[in-house]
Amino acid sequence: MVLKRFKNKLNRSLRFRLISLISALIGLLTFIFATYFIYHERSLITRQLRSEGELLASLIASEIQTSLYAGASEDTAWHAARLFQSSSATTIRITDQLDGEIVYSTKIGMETPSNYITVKKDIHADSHGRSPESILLDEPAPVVMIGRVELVMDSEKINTMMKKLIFIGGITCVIFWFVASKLSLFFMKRITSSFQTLMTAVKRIEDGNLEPWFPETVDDEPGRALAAINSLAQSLKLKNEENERLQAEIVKGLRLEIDEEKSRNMAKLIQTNRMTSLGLLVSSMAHEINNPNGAIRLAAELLERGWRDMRPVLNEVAEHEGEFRLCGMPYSAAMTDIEKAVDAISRSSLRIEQVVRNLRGYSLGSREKEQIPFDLNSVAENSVAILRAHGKMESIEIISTLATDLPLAGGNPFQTEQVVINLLMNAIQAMTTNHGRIVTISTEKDPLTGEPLLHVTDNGPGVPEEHIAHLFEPFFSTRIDQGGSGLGLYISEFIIKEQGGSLTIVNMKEGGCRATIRLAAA
Amino acid sequence: MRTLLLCILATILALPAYAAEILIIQSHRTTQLDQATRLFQNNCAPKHLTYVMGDYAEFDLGRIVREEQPRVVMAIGDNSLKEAQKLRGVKVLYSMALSIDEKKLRDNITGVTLHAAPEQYMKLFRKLGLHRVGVIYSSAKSGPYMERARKIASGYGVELVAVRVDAPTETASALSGLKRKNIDSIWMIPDTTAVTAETLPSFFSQSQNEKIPLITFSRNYLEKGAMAALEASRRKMTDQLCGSLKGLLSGSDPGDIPITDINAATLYTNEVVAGRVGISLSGLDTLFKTEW
Repeated sequence: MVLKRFKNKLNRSLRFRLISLISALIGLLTFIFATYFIYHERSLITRQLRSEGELLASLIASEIQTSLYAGASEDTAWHAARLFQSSSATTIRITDQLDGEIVYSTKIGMETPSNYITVKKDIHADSHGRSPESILLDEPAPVVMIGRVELVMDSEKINTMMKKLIFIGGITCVIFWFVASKLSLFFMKRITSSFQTLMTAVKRIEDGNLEPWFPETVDDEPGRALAAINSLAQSLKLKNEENERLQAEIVKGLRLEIDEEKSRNMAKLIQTNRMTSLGLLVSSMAHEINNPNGAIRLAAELLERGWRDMRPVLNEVAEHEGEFRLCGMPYSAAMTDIEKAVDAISRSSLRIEQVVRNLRGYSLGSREKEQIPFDLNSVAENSVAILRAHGKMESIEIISTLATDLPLAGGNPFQTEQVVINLLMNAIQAMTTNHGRIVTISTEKDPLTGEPLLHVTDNGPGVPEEHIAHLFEPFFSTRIDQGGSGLGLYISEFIIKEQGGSLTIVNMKEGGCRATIRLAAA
Repeated sequence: MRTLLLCILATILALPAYAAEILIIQSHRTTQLDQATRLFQNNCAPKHLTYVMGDYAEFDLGRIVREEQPRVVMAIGDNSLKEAQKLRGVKVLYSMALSIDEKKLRDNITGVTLHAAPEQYMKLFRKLGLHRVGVIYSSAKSGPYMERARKIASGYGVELVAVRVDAPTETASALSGLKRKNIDSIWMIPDTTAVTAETLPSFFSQSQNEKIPLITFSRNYLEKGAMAALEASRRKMTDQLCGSLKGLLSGSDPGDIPITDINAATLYTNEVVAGRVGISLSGLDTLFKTEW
């Protein structure tokens, strides 16, 4: 438990880690130093004792050299005993090298110590001068060994001193370690106080307290870091406030945008719903129109057949009877008008049938895939005629410039006519002023590809550039609030593309805009 | 071709004429022996052949002599003299030998010892006023030398109190015995039995204890307590060897040429020791000055 707590504290506190490390280092160094010191002292004492022994042995060797050489045993023993008794040696043994006999031996104390130090000194005679052969012939004098002194030194003294040394050294080490650790703790606290302050400042920021805090610090690295953190906190606070304000604005803006989007979507939904209802209505109306139109067509055919049968009779009457009046006009004039009227009835009926079929197909979502050659000029004329018939061209001047060499286009003429009408309607609605409104409908043959082109050009204000890219998107309209569905151009482009052509709208340099239908030549 | 063969034959036949007359055998290489050999080569034997025994694992002097047929074999050092003693019929001259028993040398051997001639010492003793001179010697090493000294001692007013020892261990007691013989000085001769490294302290302590001067053969002992040292002259020794060699080469028999001591020496003194033993050294400067 204690170890776990220590480990936890060690991991979490830099100061504790540093103090622990320094304390451990001091302890280790103290231990190493003490061990080295004790070892050194032991070696020193041992060396001293050995040196003492060697000195004593040398002294004894010197004293007894002559007497030992001369075989004077008593004299040898007397000299050896005199020196031995005043020394710290426990045992002495003097051996004569000549015959190997022990000349003198004595011991002080009970037993030889276990870790005794023995000193042996050979007694030579060459230290007093050079022999005649050495001087006269330069020959090395033989080293003559006279005898040997062996001393056993009292090593108990070393053991006693070592025990004392270890005891005193141990206590000194513990005291030194304690004092050094305390001092290091004191200095470490002073050194790391700046870090503590810094940590407090960081903790304050972590807790969300970004108010400036200026405790008393020194101008060192942590102190400067604290100042930087304060500055950072202030900056952070300002940024936070700015962020909150921006966030509020964004939320507000998003809400407005969402509301607008919601309104737009609702308008689109309403428009879609309206278009759906319109489709159903158109489908219903088509059914209601087709029935009387069928009757009209049958009646027109009957009338045509009747007129064809009546005409020879009427011609014979006119030859015999002379000019007579028919339908309030002379027969010669009426004959042509009636034929034209019958023909008009047939064609109009056929047209009504076609229009109704188209309307029905459009409302029901059917696709007319049939590609037939047709004349774009006729489509242009019919479209203008229809708009004029509906009184849509009031106060608007329509200029038709139709090409005479226009090739036939491949596609659906009725759907193309629907597109042209839509484009003319858009052109009319784009011109807001009441005077000088001119719409030009023109056709031409593309000189490069030979494809037939149809242009609808107005002199209105043109389409804003930012809207041009969105013109063919569904439900995009600048007149949603004025009843625009946003589907006209979308459907028109769809129809033209279905026929393998293209529809483009560009602003004119001189003002206004131009819509161009390009269809493949038949 | 014939001319060439004749030239080679003539050269071979002429070689013995240039063969070395002197065969020098040196025991081993030491400074003293090298110096002695060099002096002998330069001054006495221009035609020589030199061998250093220490340079060979096995040295067969007999074979060399048979091959070289020298007229004289010069043995320098104890070991070379021991080897030369085995030769018969060849004249042998020796020097630089200390451990040799002169009495056992054959008739074909002669030489010069390493001792300064007894006359040199006697002159010194007389000059110093020393009349009873104690000396320790071994008969094997220094017997003949002591006989030569005894013969002339009385002529110089000196009485030699000589004590013979057979082993170095006897020297200390022999010196102690001299105390009772009323000597006024101790003469240390280069006797390798009486004077060894072990016995040297006895000489010096005897001199110091009895306050009598110690006269020795080497200046090395002055710093140990000797009062005077008479060092034999190596140049003189070489001159004497040249003389002996000349005699041998001229046909003299070695037995006719006696073994001699060196007739010149240089005196060295320790004035402090002289003062302690009450000896005046005045007048000694010129005593042996001319000899060196």
